[in-house]
Amino acid sequence: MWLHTKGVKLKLLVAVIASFGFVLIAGNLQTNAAADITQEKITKIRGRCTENLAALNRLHQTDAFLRNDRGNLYRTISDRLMVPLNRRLAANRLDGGQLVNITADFNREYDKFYSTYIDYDNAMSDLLKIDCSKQPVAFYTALLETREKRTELSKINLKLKELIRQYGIKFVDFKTNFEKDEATSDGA
Amino acid sequence: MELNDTQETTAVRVVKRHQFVSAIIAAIVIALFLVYVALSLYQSSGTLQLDLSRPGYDSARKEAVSKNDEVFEGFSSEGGIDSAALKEFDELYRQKAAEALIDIDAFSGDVLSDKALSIE
Repeated sequence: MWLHTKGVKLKLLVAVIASFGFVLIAGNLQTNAAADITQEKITKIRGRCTENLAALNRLHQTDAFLRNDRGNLYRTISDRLMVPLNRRLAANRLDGGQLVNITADFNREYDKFYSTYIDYDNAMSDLLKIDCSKQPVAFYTALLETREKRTELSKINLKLKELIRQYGIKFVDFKTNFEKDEATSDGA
Repeated sequence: MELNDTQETTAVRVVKRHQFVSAIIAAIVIALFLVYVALSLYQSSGTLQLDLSRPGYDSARKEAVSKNDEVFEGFSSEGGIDSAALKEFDELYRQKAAEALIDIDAFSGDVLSDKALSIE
């Protein structure tokens, strides 16, 4: 019984030490992120605060338009072009498997685009709330996070463009084969 | 128990005596609750981020309105497949793909770089 209690106590002790270790490491990582900010950078952040906030506000607005514009375009391509063609091919019992797969990938990627933009926009809104003249370190930390989210969004956007390109290529292949088959059957 | 009954009776008596005021208060409480639910959905669904009618988005709104004037019918999902149908799709797809693949570096991280913000 005593041994058992001792074992439990030991486990508890190890758990507590591990927790402290984790907190220290996590705290250290955060400090490292903040440690990148030199005194010179802090001075520059303070000095360029008004200009940078104005620029970020403009960017926030441009991004909102861009998000709407690109989003509408991507939805149009999927809902009014890809999906109807896939359905028509299926209704005519033609093999459009590759086109269907690309459409599925495209829709999956669009969902990511949708949620990543929300994350990015929230990060940008949080960044704009920080007074960079009073809290330059917090501002820079938030800027790094926003930058990371924007890069992620950019990658997804490029992936969507790549899928649009791929669908176009596969469609041309399909069209060429279809016309070739039609010519052959006409000749026969 | 007796005290509770007395309290309840008093509350009911107050509501009965001020029916009109009680109805207004109840209506306001219900309206506030529904507004809270609506705003929570507006924020959590991501509609907030896409809403260009927010204050400060005038220029973005004007640009979006002018672009949305064009109506794109798309490709019909009904009908047969022949060379003419494929040609029609080809033309429509090329048109939209050209718009999407235009060389805009949308959401590039460069604009948030230290260099762009002159804080390097």
